[in-house]
Amino acid sequence: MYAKFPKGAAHRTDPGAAAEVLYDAVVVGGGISGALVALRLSEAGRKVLLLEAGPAEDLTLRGYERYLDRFYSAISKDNQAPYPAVANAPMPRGTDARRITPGAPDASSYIVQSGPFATDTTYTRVLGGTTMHWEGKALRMLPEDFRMRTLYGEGADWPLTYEDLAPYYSEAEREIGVSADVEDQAYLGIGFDEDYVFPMKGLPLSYLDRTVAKDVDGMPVDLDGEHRELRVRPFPQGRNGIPNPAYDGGRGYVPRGAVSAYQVEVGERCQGNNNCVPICPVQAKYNAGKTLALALQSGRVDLVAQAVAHKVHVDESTGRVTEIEYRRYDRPDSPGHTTMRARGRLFVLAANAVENPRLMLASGLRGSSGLMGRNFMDHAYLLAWALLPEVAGTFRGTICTGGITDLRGGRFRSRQAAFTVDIHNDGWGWARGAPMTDLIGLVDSGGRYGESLRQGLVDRVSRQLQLAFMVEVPADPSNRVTVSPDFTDELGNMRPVLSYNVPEYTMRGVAYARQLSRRIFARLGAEDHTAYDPEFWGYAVHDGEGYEIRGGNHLAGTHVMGREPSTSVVDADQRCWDHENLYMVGGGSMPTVGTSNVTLTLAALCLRSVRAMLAQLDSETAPIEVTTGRDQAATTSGETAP
Amino acid sequence: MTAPSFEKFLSLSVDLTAFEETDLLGTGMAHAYLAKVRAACGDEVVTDLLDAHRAARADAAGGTGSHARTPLDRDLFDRALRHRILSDDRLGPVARNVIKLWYAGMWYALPPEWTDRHGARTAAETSTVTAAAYQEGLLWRAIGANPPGAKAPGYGSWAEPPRIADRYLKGATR
Amino acid sequence: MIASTIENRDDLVSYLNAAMSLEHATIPPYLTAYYSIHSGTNSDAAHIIRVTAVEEMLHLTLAANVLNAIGGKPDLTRPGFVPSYPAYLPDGEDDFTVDLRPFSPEAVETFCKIERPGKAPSADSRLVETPDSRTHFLVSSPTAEKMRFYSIGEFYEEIIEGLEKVAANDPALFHGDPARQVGPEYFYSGGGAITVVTDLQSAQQALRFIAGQGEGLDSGIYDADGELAHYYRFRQLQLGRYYQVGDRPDAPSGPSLSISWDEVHKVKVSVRLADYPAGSELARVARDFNADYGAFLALLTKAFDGRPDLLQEGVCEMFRLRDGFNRLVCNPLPGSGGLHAGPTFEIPAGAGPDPGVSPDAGATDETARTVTR
Repeated sequence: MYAKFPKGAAHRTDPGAAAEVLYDAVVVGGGISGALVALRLSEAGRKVLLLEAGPAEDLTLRGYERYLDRFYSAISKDNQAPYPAVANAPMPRGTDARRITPGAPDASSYIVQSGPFATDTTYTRVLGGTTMHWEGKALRMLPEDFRMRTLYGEGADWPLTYEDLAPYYSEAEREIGVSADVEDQAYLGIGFDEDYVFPMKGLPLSYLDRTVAKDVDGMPVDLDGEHRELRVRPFPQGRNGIPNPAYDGGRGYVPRGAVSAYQVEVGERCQGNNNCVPICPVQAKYNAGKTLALALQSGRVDLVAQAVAHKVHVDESTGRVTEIEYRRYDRPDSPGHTTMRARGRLFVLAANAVENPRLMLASGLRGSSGLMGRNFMDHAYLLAWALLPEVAGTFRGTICTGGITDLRGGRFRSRQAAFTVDIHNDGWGWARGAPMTDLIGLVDSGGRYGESLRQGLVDRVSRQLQLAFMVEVPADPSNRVTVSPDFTDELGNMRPVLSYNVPEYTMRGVAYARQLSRRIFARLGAEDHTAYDPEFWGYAVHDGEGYEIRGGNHLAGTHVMGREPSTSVVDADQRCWDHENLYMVGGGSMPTVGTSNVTLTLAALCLRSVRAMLAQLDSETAPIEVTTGRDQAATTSGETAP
Repeated sequence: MTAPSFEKFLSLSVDLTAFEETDLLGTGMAHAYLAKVRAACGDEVVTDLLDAHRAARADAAGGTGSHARTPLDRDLFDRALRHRILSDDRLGPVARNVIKLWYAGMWYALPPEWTDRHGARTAAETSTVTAAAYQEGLLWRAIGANPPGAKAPGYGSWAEPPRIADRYLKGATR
Repeated sequence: MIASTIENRDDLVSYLNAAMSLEHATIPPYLTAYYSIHSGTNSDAAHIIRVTAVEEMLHLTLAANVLNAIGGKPDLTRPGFVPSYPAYLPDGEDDFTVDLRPFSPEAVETFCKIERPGKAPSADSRLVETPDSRTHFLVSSPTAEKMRFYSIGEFYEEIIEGLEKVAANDPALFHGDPARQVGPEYFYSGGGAITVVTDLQSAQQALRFIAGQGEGLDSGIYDADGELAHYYRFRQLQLGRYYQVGDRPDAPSGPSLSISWDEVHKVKVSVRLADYPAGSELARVARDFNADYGAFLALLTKAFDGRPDLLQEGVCEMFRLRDGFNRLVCNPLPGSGGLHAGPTFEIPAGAGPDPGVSPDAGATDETARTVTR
């Protein structure tokens, strides 16, 4: 079944009229967090205004195909290639990353990087947000990831436990549509309700995974006195597979296909396009447009796009947010805009872990704990690449179907970072631009043409194995997002300024990952081709060894949740300690990132927070003070002021 | 000067790519590719390249002239191509670009030493030909895969061994 | 009302074999139009035709389920299962041929005719006489000589009534092995779910679904699942606009759709192998395609013969056929005045992978009667 985007929904709300409405909630950001919050609030009968910074177009199959066409035509096929660059709502691009000279911030692209470490981390500012280009890995965090400080003396403890979040993980798995088998995913303490099955059956491992598994399964690893044996394990995936008839007590699951304003039948099952990042051509992969379409169908969600939040206004006496001032640009290609305001009982910042604190800091709201924008986290990726002794048919499947998860947890975490290992079905693409670089090498310097070229490509590409170690990065207050009036975008919004360094704890995990990759390659009889380039923008030296470190686009930590106002920005419900009607949702609330891609966890957090939002809306029956005082009459009805 | 012949371009392309004529025509890109090469390098270079290819075939056919029918001596032909085209500092880079064009659907900028000597045209810069060109890259067929984002192989196909002709698997199997 | 042409289980088997042949016969024309469209163009039309073709696969599978449920043995490899194009379909008064055509107004016109709602003017005109001069009827009666149906809808109505009649006299009619049924886990399509057939009710449900998805229910534009019927999908291409719920058949009010008739490979209409230059590389490729298509039908036959899990592989085979199809239609056909090549769907005998396993003789006989060549 396709996800019907109501025709005209991207344009039907007049921002001028919306400014006169007191919404139950104003949500900033049309990605997965904002979409989930808008959907659930509207399901409960609440009226929501959703502000989206990206261009305003109804989501249609034809519009999606324009993304695809842009991708096909692009010279660089990086993870933003399909999406239009809009100067009014700029976004970082992986190709922006440059080495940073100490003391000289790199302001050449949207995120101003102060360093010392450069990152290529990105997010996408279009309707649907970064789920447009996410890979779709939907791992739950381990129970121990929530208690890192207590168990290992590293990072932070959450104000929540795995058990607290588990029901919301299940709910998020339904909403995203996760394909996996419980028997593959119950490890290192990850628990599921009795009789739980994922909405869809697990996607098969790739032939490459199976080739690796032949030798790696059973490989012994002893670390900090703990013995374990590695195995290649399928990852849960946020993409459509075969519905599990046992789901939901035997009621089954109906996959959600492509989003469109008219009837289409696309995207109901993954076809193996091997292009999850940057764009699934058939929308078998979840994107937040699917949730947005449902939210908009309710008729209680108003969407204003081309609306870039500019300032959060706060009543100084109560600390409550009174309105969000935003700049609505008329056209994507010119800076002409109108300043508008949005008013609500609750405000929900769902713009991601860079844009959320950026907006708060640009509004002069640094937080009483001083932690707004601090503790920026991402995953640090270390890649290792080799040629297998046999043709493994690399470059087929989803980007990643399987990997090694045995070193996600354990006692070693008191000393070094844990990691998940991805087997990349796209070979050395991430590390070295394969297979195009292989083609160019074989033709330009290998003297190959005709049959010898075809032979060379099979020898060189179809045997590629790239392991991506996704290494956890613990919270560090000096890794932070700030703003500065010196750096603004076309609309006059302050740009994020990022200071980032990879902590030693992470680097110890990185060094161990490299050692492990050597052992794995040796066990496979594979030729290790890994070589880290000292000129690489993300080159980092640890114990005399250099490594290429890449960003994971798993942004987190910048409005961290906690039990105490002095040590956190939001509480366990993602409500700001300083502003009782303001929720900052998404990865920014996470105290640790563990070794899971963050989307599933932040979706679960949002679903959990909606309960708190609804309870607050129910309890706050009294009209609230609004700054202008002109339209008090509207404050309880939520309708347009007289 | 007459325009470079499409048939000769096709014949050159078959020899440079080791894909059959029906495969090359089957991409629907052949005319666009010839146009791209002409725009990037100029007709004179293209005509010389095609003539050199004809001459190489003639060398390998034993000089009989009726190159289309006579079986080629593969070793002689390889040598003739290397001598007449691949090692030629004017024709070699263009021939390599033709190969990459077919395999990647992309026109790669010619090396600076080439443009210094033979002229730089705007069309010579790195560029995609059309949105379809990427999807029609022969590279993907050569490795038994689909171009990422197009020509999907179907659910679960990735669990099976790749469909790569046996003749390319030798030496790479344990 | 004229007498029923279905008296017993054997008649039903004949009819269901004919139904499978009919459902399949629409696929090559749809695919020819679909793959003739230039890559990256005509998105609206391409999606509409593609989905219809996929749903014809669903219909084929549903018909196989009904046939299996009454103990039949589907066989897509029997001679004549694939018609020789151009082939005839009935449309009441003016007969028309179904050609393998590139995407064009003529092709869409034909598709509308194939899927056109067709209730006979009266119950006794469901079956009409076959003119002697016409031989390639797809919806001829397999049991009543020289008779054919007014429309596809009437053809299915005859089977639905026949099932009821035969089931009333034969309580063991639905004795087929349930393991031969294709369930929803094996078939995955855009519109409509697969029905597992175990009794009269599910059999009738499956067949009504086929008829309804083609032409709509009770002259409404949507079928029981809220999916737009095929006829109206194609009408959108003629009317230039998508339907929305609540629209009248003649006035769709959804988003407009755009068509460029020129962005099409001009495939020679109903091209035959004989049109290819003898001994050419292109002729070999066209023959190879037909052989691959034959192997695909053999794989489907296996899937419908107790191995429903093979359908997953079948889908991958279809994707491979897509690539071969695309290559053929990009090739000019020498000597045809600038027209392009295309698959001919002349399936070689013995294209199946299992020549040793012959389909039961009965089915073959029925075929001979069903699709007169």
